[in-house]
Amino acid sequence: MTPVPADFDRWDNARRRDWQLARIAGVVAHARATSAFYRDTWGDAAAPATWDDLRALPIVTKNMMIRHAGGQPQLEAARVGFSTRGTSGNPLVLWLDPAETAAYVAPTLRGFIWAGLQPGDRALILSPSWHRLAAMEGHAVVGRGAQPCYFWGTLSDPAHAAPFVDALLDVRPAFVTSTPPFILNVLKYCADRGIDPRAAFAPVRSVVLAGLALTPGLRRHLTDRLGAEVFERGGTQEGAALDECGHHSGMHVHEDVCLIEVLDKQGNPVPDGAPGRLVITKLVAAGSPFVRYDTGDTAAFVPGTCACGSCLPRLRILARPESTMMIEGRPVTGYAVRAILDEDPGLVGRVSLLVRDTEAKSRLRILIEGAPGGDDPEGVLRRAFGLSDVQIDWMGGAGLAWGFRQVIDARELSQRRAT
Amino acid sequence: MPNEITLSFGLPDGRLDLRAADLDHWAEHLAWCCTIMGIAPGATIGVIDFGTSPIAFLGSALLTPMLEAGLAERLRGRVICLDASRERVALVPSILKQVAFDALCVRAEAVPALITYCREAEQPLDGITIITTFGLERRDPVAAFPRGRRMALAEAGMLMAPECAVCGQMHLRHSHYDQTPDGGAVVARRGGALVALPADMAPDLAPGCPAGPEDWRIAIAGKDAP
Repeated sequence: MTPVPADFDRWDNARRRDWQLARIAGVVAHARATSAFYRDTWGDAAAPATWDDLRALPIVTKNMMIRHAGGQPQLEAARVGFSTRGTSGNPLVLWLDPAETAAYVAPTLRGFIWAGLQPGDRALILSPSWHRLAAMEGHAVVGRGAQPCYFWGTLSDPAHAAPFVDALLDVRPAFVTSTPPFILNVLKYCADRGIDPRAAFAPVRSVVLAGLALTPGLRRHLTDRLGAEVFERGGTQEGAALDECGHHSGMHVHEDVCLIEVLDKQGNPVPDGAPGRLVITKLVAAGSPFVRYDTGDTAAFVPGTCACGSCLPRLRILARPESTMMIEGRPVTGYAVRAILDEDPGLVGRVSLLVRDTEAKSRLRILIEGAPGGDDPEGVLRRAFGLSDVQIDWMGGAGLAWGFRQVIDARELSQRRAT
Repeated sequence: MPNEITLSFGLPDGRLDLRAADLDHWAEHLAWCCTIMGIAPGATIGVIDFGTSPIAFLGSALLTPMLEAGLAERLRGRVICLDASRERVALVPSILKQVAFDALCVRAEAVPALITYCREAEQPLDGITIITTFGLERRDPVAAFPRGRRMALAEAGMLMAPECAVCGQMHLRHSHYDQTPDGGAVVARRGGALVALPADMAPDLAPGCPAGPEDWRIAIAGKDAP
């Protein structure tokens, strides 16, 4: 595979598009050669030679892949598998091989340099087995001449905030990668034990967070509590890779490894700034192929150019369909609710979930951890969304852990309360 | 590759720093352990463990920088990282429907959740070698699956002692470990902390297992998996 030029992110749009189009034929050939799913889906369609050819290929989904009888792609060189989180049904298994790793380490390193990783730094990073993107982190850190360090445990268990803080105090890293839910658990852990998080994070220059979109209020809260610059990192197991630069105005899409389309329901591109379906094509002819794959996310390109000088487009990932509810004809997302609640100093960072209640479809019902608080949050939400009926269920001392789902079914909530 | 860089792994009780050469030394040992337990070349192995367990980070060079060849490369097989949290173990039945596993390497504390979720999903574990890894501090018997194997795992000492498919005892590989004179502890010949052995796990130098004639061997009690 041809190496990506070091100044790729400075190329203008036309030059990058030509470069991407030249890659797509190889990507499609790889998909056809390794995946019965794509062979059956595409039939005799010719390899795309133009952008219109590419757009003529059907958009595919996770469920289409899982249901297909052809099984896993035939990838001789693949050595590691990951699964998606299954927040929207069954998890999808995908495979990583050395060529794909080599291709994705470069943009990971680019993002880490934007976030301030320096040679010689100690970097407390995500466990490589957590996510396909996390598997690139250690390689990128070593590529920068820094030292990868890992904490014991898992991001999925709030109890493992303890070993994370132990690692923080032991390693004294300058650079940290994690997820917003886990860092919020770390802050709770610190508060419960009288640990000053600014002291624990004192040597930390940058905290890079992935997995849940940061609201402006949450970013300010974390920046203030941690005393470090907070960067957002994004991506999907299926190949999307994005990193924020120091201007914090949206994540730049690493277009050397992925092509991202934001499309309306009919499959047409939406204007910059408008939300649409996030559809990706992995531009690396290795590992599990993903061509015009609907990730299930809703995203929007950020209009204009970034002051950092990178020409890579910026994207905001806004929501997933399963985290969106239609109330009185208006779409309400978990992110939009969090963005409002996170502006209230009494509520910022608290776990909140939308409650899908089929018996009260015109009511925006929200579950929030902890005791009642904030400054009239029901009223604020009513005004913000133009709704007449907003109900907040305060969880008090009952456990409500940050996860990656943002909607809970009312029946599940009743069952949980009963137990 | 900058050889002076070490990787620093958090452990339940401290940290473990490994250099590039250490990583490959232990990856070779993990591959040997799998072979001793009857895992064949080309196997697809699911790892239900935390990311800083050696079973996970030695899984592949794609996961761990500076590792030349991990378990997957050495067996010419595949590993799938499945994590040991309840949230992730809950996904395993769905994954088993998509991928034909030859072995699942499961941290002992995750075994009950695995069995519960598979039972609820009516997803049998038949035909899969279940390797239960357990710490030496564990006092209750370790679950033994019908086709399963067990492996003692003490991360701080990099102790990995597999239950041999030939003799049924756990092997302490002679080339990698030594005993203290009183036989009460084991130490890795390369790095790693001293690992105290429970009184009922005294190693025996009884010769005779062709899988490792010079190895120390330990008999281990077990119970049937729930």
